Amino acid sequence: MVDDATRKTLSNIPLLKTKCGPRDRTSWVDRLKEEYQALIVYVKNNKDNDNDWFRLESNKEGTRWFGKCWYIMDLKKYEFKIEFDIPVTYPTTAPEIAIPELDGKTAKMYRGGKICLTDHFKPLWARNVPKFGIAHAMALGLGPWLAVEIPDLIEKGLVKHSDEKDS
Amino acid sequence: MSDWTEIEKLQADFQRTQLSITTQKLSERNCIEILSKLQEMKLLDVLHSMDGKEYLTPKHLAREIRDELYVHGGRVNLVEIQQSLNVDFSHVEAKANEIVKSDRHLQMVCGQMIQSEYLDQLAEDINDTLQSLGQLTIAEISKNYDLPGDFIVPELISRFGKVIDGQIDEVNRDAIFTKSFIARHKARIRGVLSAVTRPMMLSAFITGHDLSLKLLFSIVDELIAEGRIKGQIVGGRSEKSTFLPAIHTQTQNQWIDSFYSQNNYIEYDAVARLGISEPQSYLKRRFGSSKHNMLFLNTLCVGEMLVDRVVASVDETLTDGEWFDITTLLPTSFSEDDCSQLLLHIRQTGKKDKTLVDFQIIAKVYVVNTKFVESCKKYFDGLMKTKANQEAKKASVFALTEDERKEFSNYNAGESSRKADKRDDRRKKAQEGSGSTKRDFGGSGVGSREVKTKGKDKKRLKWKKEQEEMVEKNPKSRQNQDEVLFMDVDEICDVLQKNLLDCPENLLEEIAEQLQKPLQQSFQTMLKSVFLLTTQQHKEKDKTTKETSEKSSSQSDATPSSGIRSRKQFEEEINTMWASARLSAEAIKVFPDNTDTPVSLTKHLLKTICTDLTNIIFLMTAHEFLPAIEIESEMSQEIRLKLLSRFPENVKTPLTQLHNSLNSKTLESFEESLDLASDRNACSFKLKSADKKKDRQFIHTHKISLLNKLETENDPAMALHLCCSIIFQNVTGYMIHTPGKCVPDILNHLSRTIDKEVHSVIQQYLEMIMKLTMEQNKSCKDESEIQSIQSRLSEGLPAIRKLATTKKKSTAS
Repeated sequence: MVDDATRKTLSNIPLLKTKCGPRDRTSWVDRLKEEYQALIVYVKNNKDNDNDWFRLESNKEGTRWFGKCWYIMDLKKYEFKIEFDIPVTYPTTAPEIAIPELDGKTAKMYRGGKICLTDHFKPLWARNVPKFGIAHAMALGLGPWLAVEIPDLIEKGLVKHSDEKDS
Repeated sequence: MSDWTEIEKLQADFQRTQLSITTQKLSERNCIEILSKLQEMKLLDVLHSMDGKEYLTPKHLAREIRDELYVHGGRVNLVEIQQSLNVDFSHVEAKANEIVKSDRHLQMVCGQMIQSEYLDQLAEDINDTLQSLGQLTIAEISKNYDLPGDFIVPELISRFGKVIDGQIDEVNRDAIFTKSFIARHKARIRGVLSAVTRPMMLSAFITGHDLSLKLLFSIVDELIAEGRIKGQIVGGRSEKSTFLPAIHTQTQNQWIDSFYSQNNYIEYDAVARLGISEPQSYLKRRFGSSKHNMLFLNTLCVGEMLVDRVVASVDETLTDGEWFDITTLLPTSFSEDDCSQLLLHIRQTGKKDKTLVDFQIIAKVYVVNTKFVESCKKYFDGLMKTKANQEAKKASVFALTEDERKEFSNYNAGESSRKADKRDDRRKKAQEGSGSTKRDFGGSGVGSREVKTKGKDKKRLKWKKEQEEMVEKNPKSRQNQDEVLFMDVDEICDVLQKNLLDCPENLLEEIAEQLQKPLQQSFQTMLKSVFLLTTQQHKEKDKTTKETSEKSSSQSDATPSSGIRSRKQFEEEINTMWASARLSAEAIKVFPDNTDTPVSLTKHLLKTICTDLTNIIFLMTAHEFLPAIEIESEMSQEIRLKLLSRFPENVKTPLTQLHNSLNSKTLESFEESLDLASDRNACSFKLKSADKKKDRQFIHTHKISLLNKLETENDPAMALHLCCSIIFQNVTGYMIHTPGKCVPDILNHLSRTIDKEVHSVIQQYLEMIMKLTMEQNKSCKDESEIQSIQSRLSEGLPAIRKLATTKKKSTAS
């Protein structure tokens, strides 16, 4: 199961109602609206708790999302680009968040840099369709993954800070 | 597509949200570290609250303090500020002090910040209370508002007339009053003090009229200064002080003046009764001026006039050459001490101014011309002469002893301790006595002893009496104590009383006391001259040489009676007495041991014959070793002891033993000691051993002497005593030496051996004698009874005599 902090963050994110994929143009608007509202609350919460860790934006239709996330370790900020598409079966299927630059550096990743989420995530998500949205995916999926993988990668030297990369 | 616009809006919102600044959150620990760092670097000046949750700048603190002050209504305790601001007290205090310093409307009192507005408010409050109550003590205010009086008073004073309508007592700053209150008080005090005519305790005044002590003094002072009331306050500013109305003082003075002008004296007591403490000093103040020439005595003071009067009568008395009692001249209130003081004063001034002849003050109140006292002596001239003659006849001894004694005391002035002196004196007296009572030691014991003891008794009595008189008279003057007293004070007093009929007794007593010494002296000289006269007539006892010659020479031409006997004579005496003692001791053995008789007989023997024997040995030894000392064969225990101390060692020990043996109960110890003493090394005299023939002869002579004595004896008791002794000797063949009290015992003992009728006669006679003595000893004497017994006794006397002689015949045949 997820840890307490995550659970707490999760509970602060409003749940969604509309069960509609991007195919249904009319309903999607509602869904996307809910998604954005949830995200705004989530980001606000994060900022309030001094836990701002990503930037995200989407295309106009809201089917493709991109942005960046960062992780701070040893007083250094490691930034990674993220991107994902809303699957057609969304929200039944969870979005697959990818960090392309880490592709091939860790085993917990599928080809194309899609992160390999924990076993808990999928059933959780399945149970909570259509309540969970992008914000939840970020909080439940990417957040824990980063917390686990990045320190490991940094330790292995696979990930380097931008300054070091330059040098 | 409103929906999409909405989405766009949301997108924009989302971006904005994401781009908004993130709240940088620091952990508490970090914050504290940062702050402390900043404070260290002096970049930041903040204070933190007690719980550490808040920081505040000093400026903020100052504002908070001011706020608190305002909230609390202008007066706040720093502790309260500290509690409400939750900042460390030291910061609060420091800041508060800073604020107070910078703001003159603020004050710090007892850890409280006080704003002047608050004080104004306070003053108004006080004013309200004051107006309703009339007076308020500072203590009360201080208590009510919990502020120190020292702080309040100046604050209040500065507000008098402005905020507070009242005033404070200038001298006694512990209360404030309204003007009307003061006015009321003043009126009341004015009324009471105007009315009062006697001194009044202010405390009573205050309680009686419900006045304020604080205000009283200032008001009274004011009133006195105004002249509204007349008088003064005595005793300072306390509850004990008294108001003295002028009218009272005036009357007092008037009374004293009038009393004085009338009587020309005034008693301190009278003054004190008027309520004036320390009357003497008061009178001195009042009359001390030169105008009144007052004389201050013990209990009163006297004016010149009265003194003059006394002086005049004293003068008169002195010219008259009599005496007078000053108390007749002075008012009764004069005590004896006053009189004497006054007289002393007069005498002093009289002496100084040579106006008065010197006079004597007797018994404090009598003025006596010195001549008068002298003239009193003439009453004694005749008496003295007769008395001196009597005394010279009666006891020529004493006068002489006196001279001798004086000489002696000059002789060994070094050891003139009173005790030694006395003993010496006594010894000498005893010695003199020996001159008058001649004694024959060669004669048989009993007869001569009779005379001797009588003489001794008389002497002793006289000596004792004299001693008592001396002690009574004055124990301190040693010179006088052995003198023959001419007259004691009472006697002199009696004589004076006979001659001066109108004199009061105490005056006579005093005069007598004065006269006693000179009279005694003149008597002494007279006695001496009279004695010289008499002694010159007795040429054979010329002892006047003693006054001129030395001690040793006096010994050389000593009186024949007490002169040195030869050693042989002494030894003879010793042996005679020894034989007498020995034979008497044998007689004692006749009595059974289990009765008291032998004990008392032994004691008697030791006390009489044995003591005499010891004395002779001492006398002999003394002649031998201490030729310078004259002693007499009749010695007391003390003289023996004294002699012992002077004897050489070899003699001293046996003689001491001998001396001690006299006090033992048996004859044996005496015998032993006598043996020791007779030793060659000691006194070396020969004790003759018992010789039957000689003893018999001795007993015979003893009996003859007893018979002779019986023939002439007229005293029944003595005759019976003799008779018994003779009969005893007849029956037992032993000579008995018995005291009178043992006669019945002896008679009892004899009853077995003599005829019954003889015994009964004697027994009857004895009973009669006992009856007589009993009768004589009774407190109420029956004279007729005594006479009848006496006549019967004298009737029976020949029979007794006859008995003794016949008894002898019967046994002789």
